[in-house]
Amino acid sequence: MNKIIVDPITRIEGHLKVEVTVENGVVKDADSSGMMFRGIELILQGRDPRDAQRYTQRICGVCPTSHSIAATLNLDSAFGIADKIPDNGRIVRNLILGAAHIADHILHFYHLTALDYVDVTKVAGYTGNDTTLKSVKAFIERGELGPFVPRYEGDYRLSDQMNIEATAHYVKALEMRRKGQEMLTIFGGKMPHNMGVIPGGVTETVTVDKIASFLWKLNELRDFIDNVYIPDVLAVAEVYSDYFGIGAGCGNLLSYGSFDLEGNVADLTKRKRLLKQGTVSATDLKLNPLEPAKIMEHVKHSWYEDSSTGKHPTEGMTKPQLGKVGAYSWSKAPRYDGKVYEVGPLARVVATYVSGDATVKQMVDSTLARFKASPKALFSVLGRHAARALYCKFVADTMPGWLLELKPGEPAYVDYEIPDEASGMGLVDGARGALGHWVQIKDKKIANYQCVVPSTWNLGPRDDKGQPGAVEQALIGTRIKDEKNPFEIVRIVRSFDPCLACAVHVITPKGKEIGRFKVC
Amino acid sequence: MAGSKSAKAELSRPPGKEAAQPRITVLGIGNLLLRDEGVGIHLIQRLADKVNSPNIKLIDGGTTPDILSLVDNNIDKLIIIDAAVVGDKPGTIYRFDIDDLDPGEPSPMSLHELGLVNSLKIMNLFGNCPKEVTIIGVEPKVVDYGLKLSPELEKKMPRLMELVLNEINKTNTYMEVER
Repeated sequence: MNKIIVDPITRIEGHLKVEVTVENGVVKDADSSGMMFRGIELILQGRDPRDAQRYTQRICGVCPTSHSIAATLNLDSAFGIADKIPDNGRIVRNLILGAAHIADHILHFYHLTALDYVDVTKVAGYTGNDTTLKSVKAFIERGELGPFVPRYEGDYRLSDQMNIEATAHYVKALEMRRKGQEMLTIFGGKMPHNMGVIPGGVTETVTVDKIASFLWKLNELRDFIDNVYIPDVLAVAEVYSDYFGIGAGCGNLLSYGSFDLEGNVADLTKRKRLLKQGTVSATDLKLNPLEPAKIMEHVKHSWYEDSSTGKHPTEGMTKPQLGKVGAYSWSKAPRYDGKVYEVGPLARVVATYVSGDATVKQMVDSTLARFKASPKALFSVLGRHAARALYCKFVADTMPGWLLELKPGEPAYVDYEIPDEASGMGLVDGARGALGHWVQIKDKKIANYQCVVPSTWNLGPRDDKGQPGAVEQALIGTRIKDEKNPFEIVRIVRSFDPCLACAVHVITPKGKEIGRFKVC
Repeated sequence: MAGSKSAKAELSRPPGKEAAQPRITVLGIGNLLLRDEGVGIHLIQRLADKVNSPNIKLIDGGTTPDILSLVDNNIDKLIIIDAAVVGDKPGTIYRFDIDDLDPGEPSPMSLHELGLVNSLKIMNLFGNCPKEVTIIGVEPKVVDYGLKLSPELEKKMPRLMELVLNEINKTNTYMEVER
């Protein structure tokens, strides 16, 4: 019996660690550990409720925009204005969130996922004249691969030509990522940590110029998604098609939905959204309505006091207890109706697919037909990547219509008063899945604030009943071809687009005495 | 951002020199919610009252993983301010070049781990790198939940500000930024 530990960052505390026990070439057990205590909610207690939008964005450098939306929906509901958001405000929020998700997913595929499938070192054999590829080649020859270094050796299956092309796309994707962020700032003001999304709507007024400028950048992104991103995902899927059968996971999907399509419905579980909210199980592929009361967090295997287990987020507590016997993660284990659920693009795309949405149905069915696969194949490593890419296309294709619905000169914001006492809930699918914020207000100040973030659903530990979390289940039972190069493990984990590290940034110089200039 | 002091600094710029102004970006990185870890952001927020010039960009980068998406291509100088764990007394200010930083970042599992060094390397790879990169690090005392800097770092903020303004002025040959 061998243990494989994938602990990417040991020098900074607070990252995701995956420990896998392999017996006879098969994963017998898996522990996914969030290695950092996240007590950011504690900061918010006693503050002006409106601070939640600003501070929760700082939880995460990767997904600030999703937090801004969740916080704002939460405050809308607490302030009693969730059914009064003007269309301009609602649509601009959708555009800001859409821009963030498109930029994020492109970055994820090219800059994290691709290197598990694409062998960049093959660019060493490049003989053409493309300036970028020539400089990548020069870097390889100098041994300065840096971010390109493949983690493991062996299972790279693309042709040399495809490896070289994908590398060129990696570079192009950086430009697209920037484009997406610029697009976001047209209405969001700045990136990261946009200032545009606020309770009541958005701060930016809608003008013809902004609409045109947004559309211009969006067109470029759509072009990239259609002609580069999706073809690359399909090309990888063709060569690695066995990954439609690897990493299935728990078979339960949870989506909060995203992109409000109406502004006059207070209950966001009933609100029409572009991506549907609800749960889907692999066994019957039916959409069940979302019931937020069924959400609770377990802590038996987390470093929190047992007295705080089994709570709904409205009663959520953050009571750390380091060294608790049997615990192995700072992440709590969120459960829905006592069961394990996977969240993310796969969940929201499948929820929308089984709801019968014609566009998504056509996109998913034609992709499955290409691989002669049934919808159950979506529950896999490649299913997650395909869902992420199709989601990107679906959102990007929908956005031009939203731009045309905007009405320049009309209000994008509704005024409100902060209530003395209230409670709120904000649910939205962030880039990585179901993101929930809950608030209790007393004396116009935050009495309690809780966030249940996507990666705790996916990467959280076992619950009180001992059920392994979503990633743990996706790993258990996986056959590992080469224990020294456990491609299967990293490919499964990355397909979930993990986002646990949330928040520390400290630089580490080479050595204590090398190249250091003390100036003060 | 524009206070009366910076308006004065604006006026001190020689007329007609705008096109030739060197492009300088000051990028603060870190987490504002983790006390001293956010020293780079605290500095950017305070710098906003001192600097107001179209050729100088101040960026609050938060904990964005890919800084290259925030920094323009081919600028003249990039000054990065971040917390740096070297082991000296809290509040110690260091000055690094890119080559001084730990290049041994393993390939990332999540976007959080893309890292500063890798980002700069990618920028360099495509010939978009700033002509000059200076990293100013500050030894943190407390990295824990909270919005305020530790007293040790708070005491050093005026000196940190002075050093950053010096860095700006070294490159910004056409104007002295108001102190």
